[in-house]
Amino acid sequence: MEVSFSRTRNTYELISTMNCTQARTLMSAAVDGELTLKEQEGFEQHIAGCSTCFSEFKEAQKTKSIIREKIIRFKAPQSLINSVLKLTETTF
Amino acid sequence: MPSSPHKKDTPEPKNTLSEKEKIKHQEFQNEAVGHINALYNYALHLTMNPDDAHDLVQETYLKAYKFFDSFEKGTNCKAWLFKILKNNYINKFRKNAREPGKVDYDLIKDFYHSIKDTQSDSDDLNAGYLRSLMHDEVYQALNSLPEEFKEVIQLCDIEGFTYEEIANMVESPIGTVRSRLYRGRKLLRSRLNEFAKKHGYNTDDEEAP
Repeated sequence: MEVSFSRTRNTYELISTMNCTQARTLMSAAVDGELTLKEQEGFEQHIAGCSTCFSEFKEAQKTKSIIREKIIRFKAPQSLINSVLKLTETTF
Repeated sequence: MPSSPHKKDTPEPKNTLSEKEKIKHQEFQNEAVGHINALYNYALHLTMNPDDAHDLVQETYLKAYKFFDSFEKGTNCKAWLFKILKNNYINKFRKNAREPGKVDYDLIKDFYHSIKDTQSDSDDLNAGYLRSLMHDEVYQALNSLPEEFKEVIQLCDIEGFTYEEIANMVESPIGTVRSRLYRGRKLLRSRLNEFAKKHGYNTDDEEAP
């Protein structure tokens, strides 16, 4: 069986010759900093030479940025905080 | 019949916690209660209703305290609490076939406008014309996504969980989380564009400063 051998070769090939489908699979993880170093290297190499994937990557980054900027975080109402503190103090 | 006035009742008075309970209580206060704002926001996103969110968070803490012994110390308590809240939400709303997602946009709008405390941590990226969109418009766009996309975007972009934590919460492999985020963001992007166009923003010149 040459499974482990071919897997190593595939990883190598992923770095040097990543195609658009592979890049899209990694797109969200690239936006979120969740790629391994090897994946990161392959992804960057691909988008450096592929304008479609490059602009899709930028779009995804902007979308994340918009969500982070525009969705407001609320503070829990004091009445809720008090009732939670009270619950855990007296219920048990 | 003579009886000692100092005779002690055998059961301990109800308000006296055992030493073990006291430690548990203290640990719970330190570990779990600090996440109440994040939980409340998540509950608000799920229920779209402040009263339901209030109840959901309260029930989540009650359950979490009850099962706090099963929480693995050193792991992410926030992720643990989120999972409890999510399960609670499913049981509470889906079981009763009640529809919590009836969105009262006016309410949400008022809610947003009543709070001026906005985040501004995205100066690193130029988001172009989409910056002009209002909070509630972005909220509506996010909320219009299918549940499985909305959920991962919330957990990742708003709450900052890692893929591993999200995979655990939504009980799906990491590959599924990746692909949902990819497709969800694409869909969200197109919804935001629709909003922007509808409100007359110039979507052709998005890179302009």
